[in-house]
Amino acid sequence: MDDALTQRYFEEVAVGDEFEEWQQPTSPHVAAFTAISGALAGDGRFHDHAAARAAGLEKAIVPGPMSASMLTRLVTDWMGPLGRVLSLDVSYRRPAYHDDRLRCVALVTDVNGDGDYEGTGEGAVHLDVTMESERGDKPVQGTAIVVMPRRG
Amino acid sequence: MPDPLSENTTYLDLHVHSADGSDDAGGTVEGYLKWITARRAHGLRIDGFVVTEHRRFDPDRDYSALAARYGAIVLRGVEVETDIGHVLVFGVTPEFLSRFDLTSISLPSEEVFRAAWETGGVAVGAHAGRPRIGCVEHVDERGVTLEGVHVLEALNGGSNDYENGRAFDLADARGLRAVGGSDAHFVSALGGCLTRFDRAIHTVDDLVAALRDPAAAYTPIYLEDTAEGVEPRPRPSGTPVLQPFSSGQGTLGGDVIEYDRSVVGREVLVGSFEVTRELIASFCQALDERNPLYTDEAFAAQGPHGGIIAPPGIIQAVRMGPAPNPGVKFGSSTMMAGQLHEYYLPVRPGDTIEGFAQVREVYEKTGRSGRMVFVVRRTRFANQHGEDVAALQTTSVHREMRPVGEAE
Repeated sequence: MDDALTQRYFEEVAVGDEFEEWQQPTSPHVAAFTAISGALAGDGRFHDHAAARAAGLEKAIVPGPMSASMLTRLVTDWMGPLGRVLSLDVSYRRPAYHDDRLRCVALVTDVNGDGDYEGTGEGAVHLDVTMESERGDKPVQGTAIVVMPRRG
Repeated sequence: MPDPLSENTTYLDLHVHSADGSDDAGGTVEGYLKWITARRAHGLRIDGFVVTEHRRFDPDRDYSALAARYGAIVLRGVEVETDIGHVLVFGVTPEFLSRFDLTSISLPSEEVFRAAWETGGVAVGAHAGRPRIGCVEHVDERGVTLEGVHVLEALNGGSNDYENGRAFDLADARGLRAVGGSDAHFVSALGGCLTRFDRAIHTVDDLVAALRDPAAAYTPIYLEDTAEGVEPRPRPSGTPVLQPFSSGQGTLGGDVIEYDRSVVGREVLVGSFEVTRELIASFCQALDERNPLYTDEAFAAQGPHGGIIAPPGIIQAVRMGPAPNPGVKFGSSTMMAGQLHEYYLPVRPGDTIEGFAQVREVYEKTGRSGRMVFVVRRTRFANQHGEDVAALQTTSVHREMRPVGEAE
């Protein structure tokens, strides 16, 4: 992935800019993620279609923190190594299922003009972040705030 | 820029949530206003919006000066929760507020519609086609009469085409008027659906007068269709292309929820873990993450942190010990409803991270799966130097869920 190596600068960002990444979390991806966390690994809804249906879900789902991490990755890949994530605030609105093809999309909603983030010389950028499934659902919606370096 | 104050047509988004008053919204009023400016620059028409927070109306708030700076109108209403789903109320008066506890999640709908009308306002059935929280399903399943209902929000930006189509079908069948609202919780959703009024709307009184007037001309419209020369999209169909999945969950009212209030606001140490290169590698593998800041020693050594750091999401993936538990006595299932991650300092291999958690809040509302009780917990993460490196606020939701395929 060369994208994360490319540095983007604050001056190149404008309100309305949009960028995306596609993700398709498979059952092995979910298992690898939940293995990091004991509690998630023990929850059948994340691994087993029958357990998910018993809990009122259509089939096995992707854990919320994993979806959040996909959206974080979308943003960090776009920014480049000198950018920093300050915050990510997401709502899990509908389930994302194993093997769903998920479009992670971000939209720049505000740039802080001449602002100088806490005297660092960086500029703050506000983003709306959304995960969309091919069925037309938006399983995750939220916002992110990042700071990016300036050129020169 | 079109000046709404001089026009005889007004495009208003009637349904918007903001971070000022809605627990699940990320958009700020000023953020929405900046977005309006950006949309106008693309030739789209939006004159303003109505802030309709969930279950809450603060009589002292006033956005008019802020709105004027952006050449827009920002009015206020409220979205309450009733036994036939959510309801938008415009023209909220002290008398209306004195009649109801807005935080209740099962207000009597007939009384809400009647009280809004009697106190000089108007109530509108919100996202009418949405399961549980829209009125269509209550009409279909329980034969609700819609006594005193004049207007439905048939075009809602948070509903899918099928749900909106069902709402239009009901409005047509019952001779009700239709309006549009985005139901925006985030900036970029603002105005996605809105209402065109063929008159000037400057104030809440203007808005209420239009909605109460059977002869007033207004219509729901998609934002893209406000551009000059665009042929409006046909209204969505209430016939599903694919049968949408619904396991028919949940009810809307019930007894007061019991929980242990003594745990709220008390911070406790819930555990610690060491950040290792192996942990970072497994996290990156699960996400196909190949950012060299996390994976490539040689690259990272030249980078801003002088060595490998952990990806931002890693802390919230690692579970600590059990968080303080308010022991909510409701529901058969717990899911995560939302997360706020805050990042202060980089986390490196070799760091030992301690988590300190507390319960912030317990509250309830209704959604597509019926009644829901929310528990908000916040965990602060500190490194071995005593520095806060990150925080995680998690909102979990308790719901009553039946197995799929089991009858109601």
